[in-house]
Amino acid sequence: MKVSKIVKHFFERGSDWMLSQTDGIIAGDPEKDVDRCLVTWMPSFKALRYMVEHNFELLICHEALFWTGEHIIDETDPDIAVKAAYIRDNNLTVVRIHDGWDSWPEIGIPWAWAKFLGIDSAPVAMVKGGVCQQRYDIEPIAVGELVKSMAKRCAAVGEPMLQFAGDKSQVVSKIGINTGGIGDIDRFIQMGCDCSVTIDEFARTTGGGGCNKILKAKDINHPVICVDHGTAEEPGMVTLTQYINDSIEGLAAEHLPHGSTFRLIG
Amino acid sequence: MKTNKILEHFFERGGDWMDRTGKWDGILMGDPEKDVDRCLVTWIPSLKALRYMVDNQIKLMICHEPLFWTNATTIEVTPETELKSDFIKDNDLTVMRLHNAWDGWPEIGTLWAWAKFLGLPSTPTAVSADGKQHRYDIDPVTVEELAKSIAKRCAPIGEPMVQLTGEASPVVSKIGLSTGIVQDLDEFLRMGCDCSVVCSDSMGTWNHTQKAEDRNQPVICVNLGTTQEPGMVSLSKYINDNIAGLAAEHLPHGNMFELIG
Repeated sequence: MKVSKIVKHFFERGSDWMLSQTDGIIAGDPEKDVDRCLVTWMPSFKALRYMVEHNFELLICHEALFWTGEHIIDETDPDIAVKAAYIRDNNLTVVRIHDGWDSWPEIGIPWAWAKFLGIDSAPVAMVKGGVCQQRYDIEPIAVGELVKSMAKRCAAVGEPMLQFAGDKSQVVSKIGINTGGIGDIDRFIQMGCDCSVTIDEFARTTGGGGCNKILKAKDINHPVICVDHGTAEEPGMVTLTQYINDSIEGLAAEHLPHGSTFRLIG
Repeated sequence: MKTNKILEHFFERGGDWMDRTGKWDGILMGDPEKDVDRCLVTWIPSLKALRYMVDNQIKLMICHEPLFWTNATTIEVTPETELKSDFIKDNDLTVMRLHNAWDGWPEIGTLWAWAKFLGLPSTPTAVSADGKQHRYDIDPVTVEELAKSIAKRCAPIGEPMVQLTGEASPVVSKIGLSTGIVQDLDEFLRMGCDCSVVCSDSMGTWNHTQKAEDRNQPVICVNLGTTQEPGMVSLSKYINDNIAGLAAEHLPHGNMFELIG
C-alpha cells in the first residue's frame, strides 16, 4: 500500500479537525509501498533505530520529528542534520497523525486516555470548538483515592506516582481531563468540574498554563492531578494501532510503547 | 521600620538586575508607610500564607512570586482576585515581592542557594551571559547516582523523587543548573555541561526533553517550588543579618505537588 494512500485514508474519514500542518508525511517518500508500520508517540532516534533493526520502513507517530511544530526545518542545525540523514540513509518514511488522532471520536487520544483511567462513560461536556478538555462524571470519591487508582494504572506505562496539588480528603465526582498542551483550569471550573486531571506540560509556565495556574487552583481549593504528557497519550497510540489493524487492509501496525517521558528516581 | 525603607535597602544594594518598574520587585499591595519589626518570608503569597500571617500577627510578607497568579501588572477583577485582595485589605497586610532582586543577588541569591543546597561547589565554573544558568564541576558520578543524591536532599522539602530523562548510566561531572523559567538546554551544551539539572517550569513542552534525549543529554528535572526554597531560606537569613530592626520568619513552601502512588 502506498504511504500517500494511508494518509488519504485518515483525511477522507477524519472531519474538519484534521490539519495539514500537523497531519501528513513529514519525511520520506509518499509513494513508498509498505505492508507494515510502526506506531509510536514520539519519532525519537530510539524509535527510528528500532525501525531499522526490525525492517520497518514506515513510522506513524503523534509528535514532530525535529522538536518543533514549525513547517520549515533548518537542516544546517547539526542536531537536525544528523536525524534527517539517518532517515534518508535508511530510506524511512514518517507520517504524523496529530490533530487527526486527538479528535477522532470515541477512540482518539482523550477518549482513549479516559478509558485507560477506568472511566467507561461518555464525556458529560467538552470544550466548545475542541475536544482536548472533557468532563467525565464518576461516583463520588476522595481525590486522594482517585489519584492512587490513576497512579496504579499509569504505573504500567512508566509513571507509578502522580503529582497532586490540593486537599486529598476532598470528595470529587466531576472530573476534568485534558491531554496535549491544551488545558485551562478556569475552563474546567466553568464546565462544572470539581477536580482537574492535567498533563505536566500544562502545569509549566512555558507550556500554556504555568505554575501560576496550579497555585491559583490551590488558592481556590480546586484539586489538580498532574500526569506526564507521554503517559497520557500512550493509550491513544494503542487505539491508533488497533484502528489501523482493524480498518486499513493490507497494513499491519505494531505499537512501540513510549510511556512517561521521565523516570522517577529517589 | 517603614516598609518602603526595607524595599529601599534592596534597591540601594542590588545592581542593575533589579526591576525598578514595580512589576518584579516592589510593593504589590498594602501600605508602603507601614511600620513593621517582623516579616514573613515565603516563596508564594498564597492564601494559606496570608492566613498564617493573620494567625501569627505578622503584617508584612516578603515573597518571590506574584499575588494574583500572573506577572501582568494589570489584574483582572474576578471573584477569586477579589477574595484575595479583600483578605489583604481587611487584615491590613502588606505584600512585597523580591523576584529579580533575589534571583540575581550574588553568592546567596536563588540560584547560588539552590547550588549550595545540592552540595555543589561554592563557585560556578561557568555562568551564561544572562547569569541565569550556571555550570558546576564535580567528581565524576553516574547520572543515576547524581539524581538519587539530589532526590535525597530534596526529600525534606517535599520532593523525595526527581524526574530523569535519558540514560541513567553515563558518568557526568559538568553539571548545568538553573532555576525559574529561564534556561536553555542548548546553552548548557555550549557551556560544556554533560548533564542538566533544571526545574519543571523551564522544561517547556515535550520537544525540549525529546531533543535532549535524541542527542543523549541527560536531564534531571525538579519542581520549581523545590528549587527556590533554599533561596527563601537565604533571604530570611540575609534580612536577619543585615536589616536592623526587622526580624524575618521563613514559612516553607517546597514542592508544589505531592507525589502519590
